[in-house]
Amino acid sequence: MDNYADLVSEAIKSNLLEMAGVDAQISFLEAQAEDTFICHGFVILVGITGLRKGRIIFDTTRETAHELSKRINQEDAVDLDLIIDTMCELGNIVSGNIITRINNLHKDSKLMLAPPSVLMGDKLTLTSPKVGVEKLVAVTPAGPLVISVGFERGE
Amino acid sequence: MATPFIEAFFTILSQVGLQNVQRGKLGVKENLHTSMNVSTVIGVSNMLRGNVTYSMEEETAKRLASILMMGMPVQELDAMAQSAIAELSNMLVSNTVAIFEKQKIFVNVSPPTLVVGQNVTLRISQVQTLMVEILTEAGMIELNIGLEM
Repeated sequence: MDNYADLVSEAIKSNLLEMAGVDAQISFLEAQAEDTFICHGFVILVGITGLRKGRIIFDTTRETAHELSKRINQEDAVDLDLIIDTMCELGNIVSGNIITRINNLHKDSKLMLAPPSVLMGDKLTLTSPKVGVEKLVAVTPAGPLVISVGFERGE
Repeated sequence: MATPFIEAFFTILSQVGLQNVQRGKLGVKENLHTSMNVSTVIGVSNMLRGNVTYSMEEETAKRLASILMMGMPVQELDAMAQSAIAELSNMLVSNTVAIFEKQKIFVNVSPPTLVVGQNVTLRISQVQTLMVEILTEAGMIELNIGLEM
């Protein structure tokens, strides 16, 4: 993950603990050669702009998104609108945390984020030409959450 | 703020071989959403902030990919066809940014992400969104512009 794997791991682990009260176990997945990301049905996509362009993907199942939203809101019942809002906020906070850590590491990178997007569907794939698809998975009691931070290659 | 996005469509689509490009219906949505199965999502920051999508049905995407690949038949929206659509999005975005810069409006954009699936729902910016239909011989492309000023 562009040598940011540890930094991303720390960000997702700390935010999941603070927001959902879950202790996530992080595994690093092997990098794919292709630019296509095959998803599990519920995705938060956050664009990165600045001196380097890229994107952050949070990918999970609808069931895990539902369960995480229940834990974050401390509610037994959450509707789809609340799930979407909650997962957007989780994606926004974790992405902000990641970008802040990278900006602190490289003072001139001046990375900024676009607002998060929510994508739901069956057989979902995401393709960003020339953007690396490296990912890690946060295994939580609510289910697994895959995170990918990718920057355009050749910059 | 919508004009540079629309202008880019007319400039770029004619360059890649689409001869008959017209503006269709305009509309305003309370938030940026679409249920079309093929969309490109682009994040925007700096002097403008938000998201823009180019959305279309799968059949339109196949016809568009075929035109972009010099008439090669496209039966399935495979990796090569997806790459062609994503590259078109890259060209559209780059042209849009150049038009904004001429107007001294500086924007940064994220790399376009092409989303393909079945029963797709995209819920993007929670801001009022301008929807513009772009009518082409390949089919209709829905341009959604959800930007905060």
